[in-house]
Amino acid sequence: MQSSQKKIKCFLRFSATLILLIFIIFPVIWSVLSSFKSVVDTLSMPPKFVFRPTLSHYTNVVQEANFFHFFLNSAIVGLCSATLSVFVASLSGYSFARMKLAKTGYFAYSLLLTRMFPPALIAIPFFFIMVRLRLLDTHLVLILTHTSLMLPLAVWIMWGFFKNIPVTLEDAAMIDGCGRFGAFFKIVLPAAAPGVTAVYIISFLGSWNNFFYSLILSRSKAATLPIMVTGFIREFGMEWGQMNAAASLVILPAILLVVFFNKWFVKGLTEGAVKG
Amino acid sequence: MAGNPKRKKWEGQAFMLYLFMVPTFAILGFVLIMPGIISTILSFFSYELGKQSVTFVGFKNYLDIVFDPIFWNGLRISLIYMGITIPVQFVLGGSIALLLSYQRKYRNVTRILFLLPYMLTPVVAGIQWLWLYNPQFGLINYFLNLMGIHEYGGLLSNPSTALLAIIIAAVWRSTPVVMLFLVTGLESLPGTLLDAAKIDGASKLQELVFIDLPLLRPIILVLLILRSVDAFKAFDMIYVLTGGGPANATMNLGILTYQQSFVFFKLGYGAGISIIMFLVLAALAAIYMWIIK
Repeated sequence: MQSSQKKIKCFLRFSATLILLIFIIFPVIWSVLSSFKSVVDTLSMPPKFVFRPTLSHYTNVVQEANFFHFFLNSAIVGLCSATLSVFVASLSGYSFARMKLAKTGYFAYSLLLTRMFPPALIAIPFFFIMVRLRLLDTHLVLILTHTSLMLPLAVWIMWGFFKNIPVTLEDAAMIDGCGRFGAFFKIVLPAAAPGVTAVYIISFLGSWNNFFYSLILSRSKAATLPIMVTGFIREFGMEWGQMNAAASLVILPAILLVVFFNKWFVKGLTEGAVKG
Repeated sequence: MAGNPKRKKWEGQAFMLYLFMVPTFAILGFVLIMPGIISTILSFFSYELGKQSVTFVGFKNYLDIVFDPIFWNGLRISLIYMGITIPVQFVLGGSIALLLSYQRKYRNVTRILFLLPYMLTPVVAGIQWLWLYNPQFGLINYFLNLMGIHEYGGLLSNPSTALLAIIIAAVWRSTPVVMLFLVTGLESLPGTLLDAAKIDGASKLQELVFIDLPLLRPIILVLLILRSVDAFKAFDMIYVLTGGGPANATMNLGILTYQQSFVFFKLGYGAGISIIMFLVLAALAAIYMWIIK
């Protein structure tokens, strides 16, 4: 192949990729951009790409829309359910990786099966019970339901990770005198640290992004960010500036996590899940 | 030493392993199995929220569902939605994955950007698209008008275009992450096999069909099942974009279940729909595995 032919191909691929990337992030960028437009600029036709930015929507969202209340709820529920999921998933992921059962195949399929539970299947009974126990609209209810969402995936990924850690590592530790417990905590877990981090981030994000359970099981006290953001949708005259601002704030943690931890993300999603 | 020390050690170890699994099973039992069982039982009852009474009605809920045209409409929409988004995700995602597997520069940046749509909160993605689809101020209607297509209420208010509009947003959200998985899979393929094929004179297409695809089969299978299940259960974005309308044109089973259970408070009826959804999904997964294996 002539080098000029190769160069053209390379250039075409590069441009195609670039165009693709623009399509992919355009809705996000447009929304964020729009959040800085004054009301007049937002509602102008044709749409403006050059304008004088304003922070008024952000101030409004933070002060009047009570942003921090929702933020705190999302954070509490997210951190708790992620911690619970990761801790529990590490233990059982390790067990399954070390067990010499032929039935581990069935276990994998049963984890897959849990993904097929429609959210309403879980939410209806929880709603039913929590109404009676007066536990509706509490952090606990949300933490439990979010964990139900993320735990199977967490176990799956941790299992994949632990399978890749050679048993010889633990055997060496146990010969040196640790018990199984000690070997797990001091040697194996640190070796799986990238996996643990990846799973923690994925679990946290899964909870942060969840809408359905908050919609049904919370009212005002434990309501999370997705509820606040959809609260700006009204029948007529939606407040687009506020909505775009709130939306941009909600996705900020996700963006930061993806940017800083993207290597671990891809590792966690693919290595653990694909090879597992 | 009396007794067999090796055997004792093994027993102790096995016990530890079982112990480690207890928390997971306890939690999953409480938050997945128990609600599942309760829902199944509830589906045989009729629940009146106002009177707080639960009356046994046997299969009445299921009969009502089967005779309700809105249920079949919902099933149809869920299947159409799934039937379009899944092939598009995989064909498009696969093609882009091939394109990207050549890419060596700026790999990290590309990965981050491709991960973004899937990692964003679905309702926020819905809001971003709601803004794009806005009839008066959205960019999409603006460009459509420029091209001479006038959709005065916006694509989301027209029963014939609403579902398509939602599907486009859904494809935008999911294709990148499918692509990412496929690219990682492609890259993890043993290079030696591909080199051997090249030496034997295989064309790129042959290489693709006879080597890459079979090797990627397990990944593709898992990905297919997961994505299909998610597509069937779709709720967040549809809720934000149309809420099931206009005229039930986008009322898939997810939205329908929500409406029946938490707007009309027919909890037993809603539980029935959920059970049906679960059965359909289980059957779907079985079909996939049978076809691909």
